[in-house]
Amino acid sequence: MKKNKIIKYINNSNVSRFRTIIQIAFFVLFVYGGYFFINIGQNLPTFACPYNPGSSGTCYLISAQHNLHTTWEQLFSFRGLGFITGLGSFVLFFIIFNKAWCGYACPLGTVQDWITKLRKLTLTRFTRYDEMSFKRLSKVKYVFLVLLILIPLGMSNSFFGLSEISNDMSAPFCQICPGRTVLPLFSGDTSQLFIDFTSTTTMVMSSLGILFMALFLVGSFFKKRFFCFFCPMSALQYLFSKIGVLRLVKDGSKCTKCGNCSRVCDVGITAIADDITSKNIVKDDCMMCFKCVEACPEKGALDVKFFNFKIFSSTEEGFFKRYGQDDSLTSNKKKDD
Amino acid sequence: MVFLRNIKQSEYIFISILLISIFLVQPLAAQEIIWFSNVPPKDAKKIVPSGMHKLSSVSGKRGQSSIIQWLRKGTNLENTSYIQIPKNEDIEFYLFSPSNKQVENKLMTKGDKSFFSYASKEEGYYNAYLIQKEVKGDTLYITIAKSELLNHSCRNGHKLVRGIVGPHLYSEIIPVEIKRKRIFTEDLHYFTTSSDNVEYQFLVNGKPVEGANLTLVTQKNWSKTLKTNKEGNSTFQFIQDYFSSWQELNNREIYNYLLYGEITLPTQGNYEGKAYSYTHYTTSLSDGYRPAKTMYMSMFWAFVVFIVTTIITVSGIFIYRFKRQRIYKEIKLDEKK
Repeated sequence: MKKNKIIKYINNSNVSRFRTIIQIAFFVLFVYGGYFFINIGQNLPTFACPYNPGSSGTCYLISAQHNLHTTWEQLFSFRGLGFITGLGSFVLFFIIFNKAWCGYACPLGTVQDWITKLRKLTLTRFTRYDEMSFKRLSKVKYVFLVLLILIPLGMSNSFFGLSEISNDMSAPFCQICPGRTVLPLFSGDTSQLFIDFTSTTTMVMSSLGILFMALFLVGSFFKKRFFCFFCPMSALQYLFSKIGVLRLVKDGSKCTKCGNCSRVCDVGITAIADDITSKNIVKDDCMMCFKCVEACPEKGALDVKFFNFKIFSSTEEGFFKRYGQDDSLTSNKKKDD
Repeated sequence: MVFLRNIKQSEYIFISILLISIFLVQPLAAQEIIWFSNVPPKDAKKIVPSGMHKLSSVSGKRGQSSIIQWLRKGTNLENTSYIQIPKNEDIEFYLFSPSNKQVENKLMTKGDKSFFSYASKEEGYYNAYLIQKEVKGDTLYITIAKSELLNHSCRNGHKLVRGIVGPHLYSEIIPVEIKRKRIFTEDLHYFTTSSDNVEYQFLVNGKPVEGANLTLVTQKNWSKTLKTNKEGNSTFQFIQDYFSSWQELNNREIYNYLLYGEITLPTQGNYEGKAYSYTHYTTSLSDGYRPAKTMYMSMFWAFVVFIVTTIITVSGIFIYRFKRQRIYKEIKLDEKK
């Protein structure tokens, strides 16, 4: 009886509110933890940016880029062990929370959610991609991922007899990542806001860094989780998503295709409503915020599982408790936020 | 004038010699400064900059490289000669790893130049010391050269940085040394740049000494002497004493600096059978510095790029939204038809 009460309490609870608290806690940890001598590690599956002086860890992307900035000989020798152990610890971190790292822990994602709140305050209309644009743009993150692997390798090796890429590219993705420019601002550090005129390469890359920062801020204002759509970390995570112990599972037989789940999705994934055959419903753009589970009125249609234990399920009662006052979902109209 | 007329020729000679001695003593003493140099001599072959701190290195067997540093004498940094320590000279040489372990090493001589080299394996500062002792008259002259050689590769990560960067002192072996004080935010990417205020502490037997003269000499022989305060500290601001056209400015160009201090203490003792009443210590610390970041980075242009991108993006979004607006048309359907 007691167990059933706990399950009922969880299923009826407001996960979004819980998520907001967790996001703030992770933000403080990753942005200011370094000031308290906290060091979580250097292969984190989230944007803990070492350019921020208060960072308590390092995003795996920078470690991967440094590890790949090496010759083939070194990569396939003992030096390669650094890359393998780095990737191994990234995977170990990742499989625990799966893509919930994006929805709950990523400081850059939290900043985007705050910008969204700001937009709501200004009563500005938000933007959604149409289906074709969604499909095309979702491939951009894989392009970034491939480039951040190839460019560091190209700095130490010659591809097809071409000359090596300038070392000024350094960790190329970090130079354009908005995490480098935006997160230090929360520590009062403006030292990343510059154009570096040392060489043509540094000039181009630092200009792109500022350009992406502007796009990040403007884009996040008009489009929820704008940057997550292009994030190579998200692409890398998706490669290992299937072995994650935290899962989002769909029972297609219980789905009525009402579309609530896709309407509340910050990223705008429509497949979560359309796909009634897949059991594992975690898509590459999913950040496992579980808003879809909250918005589903069908009992057991969507479940969050941790090691095959249901920890949060969609229920009719929970849906009406959370959205009872919200006509946009209960009357099946298009939610305009 | 009457006084001058009464002076005999022999007295003239005595006074002249006295005056010349007074003016020459200091430069002659200054010529005795020994220091470690990262800049290779012109005839050195196959020297490549190694790691983030561009320490001179030579390739060894199986692709392993060794850091190499030369011994120089004098305070004219541009023109001081590379020196050779004779084999029978009584010198001591110490090299300590970042974990405070003494690294087995010898000061070597090839041709007319003395140097030391070592395989840099640990992350952090290697401390190198050369001690030369000699009794002249009633004074024991102890000349010490010190160098802090930072080894860091981002591939090795950035764990426990604050523990690694701290200065290491070996007062039981090294009687006098200059310590560069670390700044709070210092990490393994630290590099002194022109315009920086850097604090140094003069220590005798591990204790700070007040009133000692510390002299800083930069690459172009700009020098400044300061007396240490009660805590044995002196703060020097590094100037940029070389100028090139803006296009030719190279932020990676590393210039030498030399810091040295002297002190004479009344200490009675016996060294190699020769009794002495005073000990004169001369100690040096040499390193490199770069042009200030402000010379090649522009926040103004970053601001311009940011503003232009923001204006274009926001305008684009509003124009797109405006174009997609449809004029409201009421369509009346006649259901009877």
